Amino acid sequence: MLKLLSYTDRLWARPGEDVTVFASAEGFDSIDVELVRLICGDDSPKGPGYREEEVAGTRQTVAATFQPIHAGSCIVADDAAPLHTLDDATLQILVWPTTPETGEQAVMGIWDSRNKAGFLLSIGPEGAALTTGDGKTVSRVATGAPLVAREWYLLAASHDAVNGMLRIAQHPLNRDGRGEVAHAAVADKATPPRASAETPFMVGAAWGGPGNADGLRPVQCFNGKVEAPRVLRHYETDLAGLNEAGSVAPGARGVALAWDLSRAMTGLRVEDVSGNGRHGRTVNLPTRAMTGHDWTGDEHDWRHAPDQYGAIHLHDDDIGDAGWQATARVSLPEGLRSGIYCIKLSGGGHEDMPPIVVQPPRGGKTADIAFLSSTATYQTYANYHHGMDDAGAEMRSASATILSPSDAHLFEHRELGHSPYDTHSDLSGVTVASARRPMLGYRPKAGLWSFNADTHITAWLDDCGFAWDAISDHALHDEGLALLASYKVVVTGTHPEYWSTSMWQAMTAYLDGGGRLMYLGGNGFYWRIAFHPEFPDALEVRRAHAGARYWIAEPGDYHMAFSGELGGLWQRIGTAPQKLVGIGTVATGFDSCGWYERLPDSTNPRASWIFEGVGEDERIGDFGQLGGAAGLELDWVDRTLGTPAHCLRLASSTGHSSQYLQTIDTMTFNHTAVAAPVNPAVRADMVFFETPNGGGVWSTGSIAWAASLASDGYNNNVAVITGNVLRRFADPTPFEQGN
Amino acid sequence: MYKIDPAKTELAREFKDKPFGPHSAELQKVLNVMRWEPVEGKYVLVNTVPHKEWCLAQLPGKRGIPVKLHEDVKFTDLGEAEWYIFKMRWKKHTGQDLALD
Repeated sequence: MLKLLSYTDRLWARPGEDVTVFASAEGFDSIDVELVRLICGDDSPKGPGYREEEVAGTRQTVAATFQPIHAGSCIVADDAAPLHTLDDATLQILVWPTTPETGEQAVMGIWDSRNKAGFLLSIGPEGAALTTGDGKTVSRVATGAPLVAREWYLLAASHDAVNGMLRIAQHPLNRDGRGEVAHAAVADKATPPRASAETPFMVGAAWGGPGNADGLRPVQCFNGKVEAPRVLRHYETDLAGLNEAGSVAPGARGVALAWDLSRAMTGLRVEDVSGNGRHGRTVNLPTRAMTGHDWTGDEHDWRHAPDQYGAIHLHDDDIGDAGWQATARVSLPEGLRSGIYCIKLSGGGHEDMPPIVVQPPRGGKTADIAFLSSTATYQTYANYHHGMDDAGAEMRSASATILSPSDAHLFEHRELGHSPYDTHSDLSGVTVASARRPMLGYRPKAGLWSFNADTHITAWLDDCGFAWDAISDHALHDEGLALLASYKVVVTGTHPEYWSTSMWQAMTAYLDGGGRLMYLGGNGFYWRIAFHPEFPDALEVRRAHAGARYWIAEPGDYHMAFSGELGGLWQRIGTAPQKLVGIGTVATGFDSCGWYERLPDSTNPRASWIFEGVGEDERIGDFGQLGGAAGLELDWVDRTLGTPAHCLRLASSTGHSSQYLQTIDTMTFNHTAVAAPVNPAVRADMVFFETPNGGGVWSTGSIAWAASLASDGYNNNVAVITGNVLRRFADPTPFEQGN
Repeated sequence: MYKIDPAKTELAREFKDKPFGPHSAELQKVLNVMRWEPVEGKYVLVNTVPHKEWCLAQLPGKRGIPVKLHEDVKFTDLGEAEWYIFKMRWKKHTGQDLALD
């Protein structure tokens, strides 16, 4: 459906730097490339109007071609050559299949799927199977007993190339009392395995030839967990003797390869502990640090018991780096004004516009106001399928699901990968979001959410004549406090939901140092994320403990692989958003929006300046593109979660429909009165409090706030209040510490 | 389990007049029952002209294949699209065509 797709090598850059564009064009062979400044990305006729400005002198025409994505994760040996020459070999691995019913899946081997050459241990409708081929004929032996999903098995296969014997066995583990039995089979007159020298040794996929996934194309991808793959240099007649993972010591004589997947789990490398140095690498970012077959349940942090976390969960729809050839290089002119930009690609009547945050020159801020673009949140939402894959989605939206052409394309083209809001094809949760792939949805004109909704704020800054710099989550993660320190005020987007530890610490330090923060959104500072230490274009989320989770992490899998840190809600890590911005998530609803009404604290001299020009009984934000300024996702104060004792609750929202429900992470049990308008907890609290060293925080607690800014040409009380706060926060006069 | 009563056409009338909420408590029950349909075959709308035209479509229930477009059923108003889907679901749940006036 979409014929022009692209991604970039970075989500933010500085003037004078280059951005590399990777594009795929289907049905045409050249594209125009230009840099545009995005003023407002919302093209809805109900909104303030889409606006972009071309950056002069950046237009170029480049050649383009179709570039496929080869999804599916696996593990590949760096050098398989010595394994090719094994006449006799035994393969051994532990597996926890998740979709054994969906057809033949490659578990391990050296198998050229195009030429049917080599040897392959697989699972499928016939159970575990061993196949050998020489490019002309194929032999096969199978247990004949399909595996059961989500149960551990030891699989073992052996071939005697000289005498033409094949053996296969599957042993169910941890199945005491359930009556499941082991199965084995043997065959003779087998074809000797003869793969070409370029065929790699792989776990979790067969070789489909060269491709874009780290140089190869994984096919027949396995869904599920794998653990302790080993290759022995001999034909084994007693496969039943291999009924424990440790039955053959990794370093024992005759072991050609033994990957211990519990080592170096934060990275891309897989270590061979056989002593032969046959290390490997993961391809397409499978999920590491997963509970293994011997996880006892006593330890939930893999850093404390790595030996119980020796599994990697492979998925046939994982995608790390799409691996496309570069299509264009865009140089950001020196002196380019900081802001939100896009690289506008057009060709064959199609268009794509990957965004770039252009930050000010390093160490050289150009304004006192910084807009923090929620690039981590945008990346996490990219390629979102929830509305299409979950039967409850229509209930949530309270209207028929509307698919954009991009959504429809995503439904069909699963090779683009999913978002951490989705499940994989095996219904396990998606933990990884990579930016090295087309990120549909993280684009202008893609609906009023996240990236586009945030341009209502930046358009307001421009239209009202505020000088501002754009900065990004990714840069904040990398550079920490240094990125923020020189700004008088930092303005967030509408939904700054995903925060790494480094980002959180930087913001805390900024506020402790007298910084000012305007939190113009809802459901912010909610999930903890980690960036990959070797491939920082990927981030990780674990839907642990509680929260609006969309999927739920398996027991024992709450710690992130990329960092080892406990994943999940910041609240459950002991640092609720209330500590940072006074408020945290309490309710969601998506059918309509409400408004705010002022509270007595709004006339407190500490904060009354915020409402200058607004009547005491005036409804705030009972208008706007979404019908009101209080809506979608709402935050409230909670002293027990850390709302500062001197925090002023200035206004609260009302007018919410019965579609607005208290979030499950803020309740101990469900009942029939969790919805508005009968649940007093369903509200957004607008708050202000002073921070040490003259700083302050002002929070709106509503994702919808910014969609009311532009009403009546910015002549409205939402814009008045926001402007009052911004001007005061940009004024260096310190705030007195509140009582 | 709540069953949609084909005699309660006043609920359909309420929806026709105001397809986007908030709705009355009983109409909300009707909508919730309708919206619990499984993903396979679920009616959705594909935005074929940005903000101007929507095509009726159905989710295939299997990932990786195209969404089934009903090219002959297009709308220029989302409220009309909601009403169309509502009528089809009414018939599916009650076995009766929805006839108002």
